[in-house]
Amino acid sequence: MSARPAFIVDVNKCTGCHACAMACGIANDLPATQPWREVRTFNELHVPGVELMHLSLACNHCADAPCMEQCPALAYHRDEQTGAVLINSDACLGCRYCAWACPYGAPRFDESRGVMTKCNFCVDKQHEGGQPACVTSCPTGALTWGELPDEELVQDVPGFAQAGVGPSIRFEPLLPARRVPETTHPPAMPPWRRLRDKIVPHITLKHEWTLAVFTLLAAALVGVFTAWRLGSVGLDWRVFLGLGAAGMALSASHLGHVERSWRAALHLDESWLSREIVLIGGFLALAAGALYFGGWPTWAGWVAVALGFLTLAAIDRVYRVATIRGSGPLNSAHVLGTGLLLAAVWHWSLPVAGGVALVKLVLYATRRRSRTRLGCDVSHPAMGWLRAGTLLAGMGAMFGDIRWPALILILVGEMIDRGEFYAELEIPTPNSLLLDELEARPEAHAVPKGE
Amino acid sequence: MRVTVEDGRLTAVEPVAANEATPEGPCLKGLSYVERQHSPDRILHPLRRRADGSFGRVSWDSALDEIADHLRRTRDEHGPQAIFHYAASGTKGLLNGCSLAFWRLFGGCTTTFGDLCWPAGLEATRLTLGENKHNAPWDLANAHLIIFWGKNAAETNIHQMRFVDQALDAGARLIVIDPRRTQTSERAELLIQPRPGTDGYLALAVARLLIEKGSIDREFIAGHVHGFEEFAAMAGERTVEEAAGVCDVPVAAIEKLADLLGSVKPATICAGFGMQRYTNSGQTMRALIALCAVTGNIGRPGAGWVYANLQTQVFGGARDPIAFFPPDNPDGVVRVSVSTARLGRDMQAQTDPPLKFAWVERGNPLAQNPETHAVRKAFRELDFRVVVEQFMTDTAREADIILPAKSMFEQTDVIGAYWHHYLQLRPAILDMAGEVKPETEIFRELARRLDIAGPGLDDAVPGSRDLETWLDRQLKPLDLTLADLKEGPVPAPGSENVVFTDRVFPTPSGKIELLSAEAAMHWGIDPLPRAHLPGETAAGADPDPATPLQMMTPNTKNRIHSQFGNLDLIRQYDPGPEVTMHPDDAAARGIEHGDRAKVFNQRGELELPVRIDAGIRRGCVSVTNGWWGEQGGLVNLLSAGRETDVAHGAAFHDTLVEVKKA
Repeated sequence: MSARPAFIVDVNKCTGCHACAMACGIANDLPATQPWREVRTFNELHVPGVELMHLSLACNHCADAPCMEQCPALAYHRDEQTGAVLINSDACLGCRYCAWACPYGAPRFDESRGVMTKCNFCVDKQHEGGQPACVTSCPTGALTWGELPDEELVQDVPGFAQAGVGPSIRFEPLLPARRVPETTHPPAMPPWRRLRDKIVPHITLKHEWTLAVFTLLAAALVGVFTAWRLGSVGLDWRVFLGLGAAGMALSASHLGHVERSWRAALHLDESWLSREIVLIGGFLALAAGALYFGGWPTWAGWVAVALGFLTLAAIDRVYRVATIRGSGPLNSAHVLGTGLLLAAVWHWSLPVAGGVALVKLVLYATRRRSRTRLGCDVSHPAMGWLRAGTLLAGMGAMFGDIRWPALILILVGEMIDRGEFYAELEIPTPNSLLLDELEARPEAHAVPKGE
Repeated sequence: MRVTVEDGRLTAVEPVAANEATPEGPCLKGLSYVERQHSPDRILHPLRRRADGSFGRVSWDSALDEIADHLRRTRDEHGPQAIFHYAASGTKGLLNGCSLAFWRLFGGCTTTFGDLCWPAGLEATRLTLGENKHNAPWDLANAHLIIFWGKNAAETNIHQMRFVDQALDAGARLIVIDPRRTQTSERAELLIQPRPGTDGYLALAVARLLIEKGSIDREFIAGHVHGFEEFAAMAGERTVEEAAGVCDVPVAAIEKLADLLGSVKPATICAGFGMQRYTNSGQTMRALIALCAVTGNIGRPGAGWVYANLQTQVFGGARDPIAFFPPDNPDGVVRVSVSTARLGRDMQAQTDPPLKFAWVERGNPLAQNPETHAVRKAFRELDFRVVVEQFMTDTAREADIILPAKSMFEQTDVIGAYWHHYLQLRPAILDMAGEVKPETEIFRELARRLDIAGPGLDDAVPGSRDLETWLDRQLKPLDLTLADLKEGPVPAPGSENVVFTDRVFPTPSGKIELLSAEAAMHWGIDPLPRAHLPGETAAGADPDPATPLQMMTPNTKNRIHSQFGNLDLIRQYDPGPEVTMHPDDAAARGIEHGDRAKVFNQRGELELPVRIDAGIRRGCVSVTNGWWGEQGGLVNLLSAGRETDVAHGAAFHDTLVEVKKA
């Protein structure tokens, strides 16, 4: 693709005046305080020796747009003429997953309409030969418009994620001569860490508890069904289906448009969220069928078990757009592990359960330790001991052959871990990247000399 | 700017490339007119105060009848000068002159002298260079050295930054002198943060170094500078070390400034307005201009003193700052006796007759003039108050009758500028909102009720049908017509891109006056720009321990004085007032970022959230001006009604405060 238009941002010329953002809101008739474009400021409290800089960002209409790739409902499409990535509000579920997938914080949830909304590249203006309103309104000429060079890499600028998704933006980074003025007074450290308080995270346990419950429930259903298939427990199809339906309903409850839930199955070829939805539907249906028609061939049950574990793997894959600092690729709270553990517990296989539990404990302890070292939030130590203690006690109960207490103890431990997982998930945003950048600057840690 | 109107609504504001000063884009305030024009908070019909203090809608007839009654009665009982006319710098245009013309026909009134904004700098420039004009905005791109002295152009003159960038791209050097680390200083190679109000000492120290090292332009001085020897002797009275002590800046910084100014040509000094809002600021500004003079940085491309460009003040009458002075020979009709800076106390001090009735238009003195307590008291002591306003400002809230004011899109007028030199047409493109009447119509309606009529009235206050003819008549002496202005911005007749190339300085000596007998005669100040400390300063020998912090009330990019701050479009970026403090000052008071704190002195108190910023000078606090009472940021509760040393400006920044955790 050549001659794609692109935003060109000269960081040297931007004064952070917000005219681009305001013009965006006006031109697109957005509520006064919700323009698609946002200007972020780096070092607004003036850490000495560190530059003050602004980053004006909207949607970068990426060549490999993660929002479009990950949207389960096929609500995104590309305008062929301009390369603009556009969202169709009539097709959007309001699941917010595109906001998790986008490294630039472009898609936002519109509370009043229950759908996602984002910069449309002013396509109407472009089709008439014009340029986006943000560009034509920049008083200093810092935000301009040009042809995207074919190969050139995006320059490194604080706050801009190098995500390799082909964004339609190029920067003129700060020239060395314009970085920081020499000053005449002894430096002092501003409370820049407090700026973290203002960052609104994409994922919090408080908002995402329905998903936490849903994913744990999915693991439990897969575990118990596997044990049933192995012939170690009895299972009433009504209980199974009832819990499955409740989980699905819970997961749909956070959608902006529940009535469009069916659309979530439309994007199987790319979106892990779509795959998860279809897989869990298949698992629940096939498993319930197997339970109801006791005479179904055995392989049908095994197919359901396979679908179940694939569902759990898909769930874990969906969360890979987020990161947990201090965690490796495997996390003790991954539902695939939980499903395995619960299957082993219900099947009453101490060697398998013990093996999985040991792996979980090691993962849990190492993650906790490295997060503490990195200065990241971890839950209260008592919670950590409770999580480890319940798992160990569960294993002890299995050893002692006390069935129900074992299950309950293990479930409680898994719930704690899953809860912490949601609290620890982070999606880097331009705002958090700006603070990470400041954090990485030695000047931000120097002890200021007194006068 | 160019605006789009769809179905009677303003939908877009865009730049006009024909104005070479602002070709890229409007500022934030310009864009926000789409909300301001149609704001649900706009006052669209006359309002009358009720007994319980609230306001109720009344008809124009009822409002005007009542106002006319009061005017007649006040005139009969106390004389016309018991009527107080107050106007500030809201909507601009030639028609603003109609108000005073009306009061003359009425028989007279009392009004103010001085100005809140910029008189000390204007007068310093007039005394030194003879005239307030500077090179065209785009000429700054030719400078090899730019000194922003007390100016944060990125917030207050954003379009200037484009030319700064062009100059920097071409290799220019940039120095910023400001007690705050600002967006503008971010571009600079050196930020000097002197004690507020000591800039004159800094300038004289630089002058001393330039003279000592011989890096002055002797030929230019010999030909065009008056009083250089006396100036040089005066600059030599204080050592650089002593000056560095007063300003609290390192000697090395002063030396670097002098080295650059002495060696890099052409150099432009861009001075801000905030710096001339101290009781010593006329002298400060004169000392700064002297640096341009002794280095020969006048009358050349890329060189000069950029403060205010009044090349569009071409419509007769006195130019600023002369227009701010009380007349030497009062005409007995309009009594010019109230200092804008001391508004409250001077209003109360009027006798024979005392003030009884106030008419306020285009201004918000209850937020913007110093010493809000005194201003409020003075307004409340009057018998009757009329305020012409678009919004429910602090001043409107004090009114007996509020008359709705037009917006700038509702009546055709001609506007000048004070940075670039274009005359521009501001055509009426929208119908008057609601029941709004322009001031001209209001005055004509009042004239009818007061039996003022005839050609005198038509000359003074044109009727709506005669408006364009009237404007054309104002343009005629300039060989311009409205039709010319309809084509686009027109450079004011006689304006120049590079000023003073002819080395003609309209001062008494015909030269640049570093020694000004006029300054001494008119203002009683030293004829030389000798530095002294402001009246209320923490830099003095005997600072008051009760109020150790110097408070600055700078302007922000988000408002023009007290306008625009009520709009959602603006408030998303500036939701409320806060006090900015240095980390050490905050720590010494046990205050943390985000805490609420009381900012107070003997005159008043504000309670504000604290922003801790390592970019501000120790010992200084800053609250942007222009907040309304309902927003909790009436900064002038803390300032004193004091005039600047010259030209009757307002010394807002002679303000010391203390801060404590609330």
